Amino acid sequence: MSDRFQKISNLLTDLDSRTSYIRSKLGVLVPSQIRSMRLKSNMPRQSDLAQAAKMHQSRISMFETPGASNLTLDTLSRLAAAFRVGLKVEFVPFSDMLRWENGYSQDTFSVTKIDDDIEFLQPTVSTVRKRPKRKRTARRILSSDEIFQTPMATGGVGASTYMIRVQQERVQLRLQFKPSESAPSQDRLADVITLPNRRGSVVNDLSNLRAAAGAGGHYGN
Amino acid sequence: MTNHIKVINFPEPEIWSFRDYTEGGVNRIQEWYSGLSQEAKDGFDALLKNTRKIANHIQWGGFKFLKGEAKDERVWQLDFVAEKKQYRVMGVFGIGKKQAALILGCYHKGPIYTPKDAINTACKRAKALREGRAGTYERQIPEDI
Repeated sequence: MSDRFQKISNLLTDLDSRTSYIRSKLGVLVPSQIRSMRLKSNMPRQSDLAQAAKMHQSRISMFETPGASNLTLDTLSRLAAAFRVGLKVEFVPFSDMLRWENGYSQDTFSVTKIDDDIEFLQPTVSTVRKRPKRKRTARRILSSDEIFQTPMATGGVGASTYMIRVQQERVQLRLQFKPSESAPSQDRLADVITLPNRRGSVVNDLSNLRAAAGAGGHYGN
Repeated sequence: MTNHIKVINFPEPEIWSFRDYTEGGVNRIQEWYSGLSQEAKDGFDALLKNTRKIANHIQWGGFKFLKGEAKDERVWQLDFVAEKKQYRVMGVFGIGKKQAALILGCYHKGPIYTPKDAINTACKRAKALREGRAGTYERQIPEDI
């Protein structure tokens, strides 16, 4: 069994292996970034950075030693502030982490300081990202969506009425389904049912609704 | 007529290569590595993977030349920490461009190295390498994990 295969197997099955793997990468790459920024800054000595970050020099030394420090978000924020740069902490797939590690180089690592960050200081229309229009996506009825019978009277077709409690946070949801061919009498049912609020609205026929859900019925927002 | 020695000047490699110390057919670095915990192995792998891309060895994280008897042999060490243990990997630079030999792995607490004679052993190994009584084997650093 190859080393890689064994390693992947451990990562897939064991929490401690994954933790160790992630910690080892961060334990090298984060100190390396701190060292890189310090060496390229106008405070190349650890004592200069320590003064700027209001820390002791020995802590800076520890932060730069691979694996030596469990840097807290607070400490990282303070270091970023001292370097006059931002900080991004992001959960990513393992592949992204590996790509980051392979692509990273302490020699070429460079971050624009706030003083030179034109995009931040003078945002133009082209650099400010417009809020993307929400794409309408159809979603299947989830098992967590609760369908239950209610005595609520409606003016709909049929004798039975049902409520849908949709476990979504959207205020308005539309339920779409195609009546099955085996139930031509249900053709009069609305194809689109608007749920006015999170509590749902009245649907006329549960069996049809279930059939629609099972046969590709969907609702979208 | 002057006898010129023609030397091909190969371009400097982009990354460092690390070579494991071997004696009597035994890879001493791999032997040490095999006995490490998974976390220490991961830490060591990540350290080498990053370090080899840093051109100037003075800027390697946790790097320093050793003092005392090791100074004569130009032995250096790389520090890294795993499971709150301070590990040390000692090495020497080779003649080739961006080549380094790892000669000993150990850990360190306060002033004490484990094994205790780590520095002495490192000096002996550095000397053995220099005198051709020991060899090296290129350490593979995978990029796909």
